Amino acid sequence: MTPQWQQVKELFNDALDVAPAERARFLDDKCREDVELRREVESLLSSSEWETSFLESPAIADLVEPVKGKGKRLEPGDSLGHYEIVGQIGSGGMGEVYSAIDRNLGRQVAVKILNQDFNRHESNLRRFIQEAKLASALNHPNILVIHEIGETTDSHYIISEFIDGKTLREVLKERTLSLSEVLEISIQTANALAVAHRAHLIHRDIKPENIMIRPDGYAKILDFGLAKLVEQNGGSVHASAEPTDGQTAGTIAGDETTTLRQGQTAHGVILGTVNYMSPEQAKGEPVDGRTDIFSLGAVIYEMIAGRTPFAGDSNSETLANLTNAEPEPFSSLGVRVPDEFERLVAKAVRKSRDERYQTMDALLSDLRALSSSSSAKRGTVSEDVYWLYLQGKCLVGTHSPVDARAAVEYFENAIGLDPVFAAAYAGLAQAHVIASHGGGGSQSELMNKAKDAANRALEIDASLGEGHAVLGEIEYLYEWDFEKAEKSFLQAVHLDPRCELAHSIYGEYLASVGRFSEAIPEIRIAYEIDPKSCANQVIHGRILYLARRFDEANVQFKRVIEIFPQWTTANGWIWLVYEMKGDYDKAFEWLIINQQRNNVPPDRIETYETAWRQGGWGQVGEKMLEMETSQSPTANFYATARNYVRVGKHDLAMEFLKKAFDNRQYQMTWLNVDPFFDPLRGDPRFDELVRSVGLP
Amino acid sequence: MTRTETDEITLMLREWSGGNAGALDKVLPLVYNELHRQASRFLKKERPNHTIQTTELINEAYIKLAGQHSVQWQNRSHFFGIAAQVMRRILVDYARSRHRLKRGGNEVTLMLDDAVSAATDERSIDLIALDEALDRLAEKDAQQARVVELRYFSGLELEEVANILGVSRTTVSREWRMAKAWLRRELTR
Repeated sequence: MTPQWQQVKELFNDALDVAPAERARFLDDKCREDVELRREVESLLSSSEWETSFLESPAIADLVEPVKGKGKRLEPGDSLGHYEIVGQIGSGGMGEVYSAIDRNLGRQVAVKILNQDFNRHESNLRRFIQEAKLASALNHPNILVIHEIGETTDSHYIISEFIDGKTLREVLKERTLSLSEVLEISIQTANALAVAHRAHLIHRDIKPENIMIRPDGYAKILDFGLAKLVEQNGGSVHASAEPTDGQTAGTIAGDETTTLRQGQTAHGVILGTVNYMSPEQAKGEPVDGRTDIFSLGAVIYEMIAGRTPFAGDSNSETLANLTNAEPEPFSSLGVRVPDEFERLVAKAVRKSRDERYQTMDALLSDLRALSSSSSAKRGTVSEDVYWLYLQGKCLVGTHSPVDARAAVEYFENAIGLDPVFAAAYAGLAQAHVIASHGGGGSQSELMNKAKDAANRALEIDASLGEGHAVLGEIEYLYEWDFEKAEKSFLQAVHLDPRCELAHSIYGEYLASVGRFSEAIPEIRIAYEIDPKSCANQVIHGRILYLARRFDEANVQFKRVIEIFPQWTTANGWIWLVYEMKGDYDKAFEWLIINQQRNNVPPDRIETYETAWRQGGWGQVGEKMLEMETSQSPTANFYATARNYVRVGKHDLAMEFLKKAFDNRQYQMTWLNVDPFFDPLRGDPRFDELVRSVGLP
Repeated sequence: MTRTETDEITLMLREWSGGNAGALDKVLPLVYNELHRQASRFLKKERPNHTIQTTELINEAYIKLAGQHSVQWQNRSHFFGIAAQVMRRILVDYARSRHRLKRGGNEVTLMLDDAVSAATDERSIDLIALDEALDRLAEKDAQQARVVELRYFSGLELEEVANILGVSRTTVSREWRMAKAWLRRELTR
């Protein structure tokens, strides 16, 4: 600060404290001969008196006002090129939307007039136009079709397909959506976005306002103009994040790109609401396709829960939640959804994009799997009933007898509310079948219940694929009526080619009857329909075992353990397969691993280890038998028979197989192909037993 | 913004500068809140139609601030200083682009001497000229320039400005009074 300035400053402030009438004298006194000083102070004083409102309102207020009223509204009958305005149908951050008639083609179109404000950056506009062109080139039924982009002397406009429908926002205001509607809308949106991502376009502004729903249920994504072209890199969107150094992605190069990115962000993405914004967007970081995955996840969450996952009372609270809070599970919001669905949504809205679905295709695939597992939603109109049904289905999917008993309750409750819901009977039948695998004396009772339920399902709806599939399952596993069972499976697949249960159980059936080359493609179809089903993966391994393709079987079982570490069934198979191969070292190693995974007491494991050191695998077999007989009697006579075969006690093995037969243990269907019983083949008692089971 | 909130900001900015990346996540929503409050305090009452533009500008400011990864935040005051500069830059850029737009639209550009006759109209302020004048003022009196940034571009009250600059309210009031007189004279010259 110069001394002169300091002097001016002091005089100015002091003079203002002096009454205006006294100022002249005051300055005379202070400035004396310094004319320049006096002139400076006087001019500042007069400037300060003259103006009162100067700088009194914040800069932002000075700026926004002049824009007001600039965009002229179009009235019905106004023309825009060869389009005649019919009326206004909406307005948004980017501009107003009108419906219009194309006089040349006589068709109805939508006209969006871009805000003046929007094209304040010319580069923005250029980019917008370019990307709108790209989006229109996507030509996907779930993306709004853009017919034309044009300009008049004072504005730019977009002519697009006219959609006679409502935005998802309007729909959500009117009513609650059913789960199948939620899935339908989600799948269509994900599908369109997947296509866009493959073309390296990300939308960045997915929200209910930008999804139109036609009366026929068609969903259309709007406003692709805000989309961002991501750099082509490795062919996948998620791998092509915009460089962080502010360099351009996509087609526009040069110095303007930093501003461009920010200008665009300011315009498009966080205009108005932050409810659908991904955390990386909120932080102003570069975004990639996974931002759309987050936003779509937030939309799906809202369709179910009625509010977005991180919603707060204000934008800033929402932003805080976005970084600090976890979304409420649906259950705590009083909404019941299948666990799988809960997991799907939670994965889509993970804070860290590395933990989300990595591609829109992956999300789409899970949505589809969920949808096909709920394709049975025929015959019930009640949402509550449907939730109950889906809960049951989820539990049945684990193939655990304990879960299956819980599933029985869900299905029975569903049936209680809707006694003509065929799919619930089919689900109930399957739950009983799985529950019966848990052993105990109630097997025949459960199987009778299962059969009743399956028949009831088909009485209500003879075209229900799953009904035929579960009936076939009972005929195959319990009644050992192999001919009838195969007819049921074929009927099920014919009626519902995507019936996962039919393909899965038919695959197992084909292995039982030794048709391995047919069995493997069948089980593959089953887990293509439901890639998350662990049970199907295990069945695949079991088929390979029965087909004596031991190496492949263990590759498969180990894969199961890798994908589903909590699934212990596969472990039990691995050592058995090594045993069949004659690789006892490995068999022992995996036996111990299996025991540990099943939390077997350490002293038992030590017993095995001692036996292994003393007498090798044969000794271990003796110990296994000893352990089994010392415990409460098991209902799995088939497994006990195997234990006797292992130690060469064939008579006892036969005895237990007979018991398994009398108890109609489902494993008996494997008898003709199970490699374990090879030592018994040729024994007339064994061959007679195979015939008794009715195996072809 | 409450006392605790501002203290919180300081604390978290320090943590963040100290290498705690999580602190940034916590501070940004508060900052957003603060920026929004500043802008809407004035606008909400008088110009309810402009919330979208406000939001847009605030969002832009927020994003720019969020991008200041390389800055070593020292304290709350340092932060608000930077925030005010960011706001200034954004608003002046905004004015520039609109200025260009007007030219492009064959409208008569607002000349500086028009400002004299329009002096009673608060909205005819030429932000671009003001920005240049403010640079000149900063050379003469850095504190006055900061007061203008905080007051005019960030929309803070005198009390808050005093708090941030660590001077008395009277001092701020005097600085502000003179800066306004000086700038106004510059703009009407």
